[in-house]
Amino acid sequence: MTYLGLAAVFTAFTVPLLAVAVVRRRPDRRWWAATGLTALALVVLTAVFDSIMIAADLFRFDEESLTGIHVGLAPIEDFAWPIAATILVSSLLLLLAPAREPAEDRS
Amino acid sequence: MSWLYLASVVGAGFCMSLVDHRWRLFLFRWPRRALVVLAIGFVFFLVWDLVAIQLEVYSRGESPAMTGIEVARELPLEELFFIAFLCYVTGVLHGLFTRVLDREGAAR
Repeated sequence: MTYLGLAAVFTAFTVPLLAVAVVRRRPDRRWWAATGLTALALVVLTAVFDSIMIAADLFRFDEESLTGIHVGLAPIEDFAWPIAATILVSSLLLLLAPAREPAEDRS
Repeated sequence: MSWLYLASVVGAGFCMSLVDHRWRLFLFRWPRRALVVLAIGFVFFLVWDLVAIQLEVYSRGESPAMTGIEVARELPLEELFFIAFLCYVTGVLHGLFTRVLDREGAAR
């Protein structure tokens, strides 16, 4: 399996979680905006730090498993991590909030 | 030098915790909920890493900035900290953006 295939499989696991969270909790626009901004911030951080980490030889990839598309030194497949993390964390925050309380309480 | 990467991840995590603590954004707002999220996220990314290693897509580098300690084949100790850090940063950022959007909404 290629790294892209692997990334797709794991990212796909987070989608049903998002679907359940959104259908059950009906988050407001603020949640969607916060989730989108989180994804954006993490993608930018990934582009920067993944490149630095690869340049520092902290980890290596089997080049044949990659698509060959890079952002800086970061393989594009690595961007599945910030996307999956955003979906996973944001969805779990919704689902774990008490049912009767608004998804993001003011306190 | 061999502790540089680990220290960087832990240090960055500590800085995020200061932000988290100051504005009660994630762990310092809903401790139990945040810990559950972190635990699930940690397992999720750890499994992802282990599968990637098994498929021989991913392998450890030889950087002098790493300790060389492996917790599993090709899985450096630092990766465990990084995975936890990634999930933590995600939670803190989500809380931070929610708070900023909250204040903008209230100001109008």
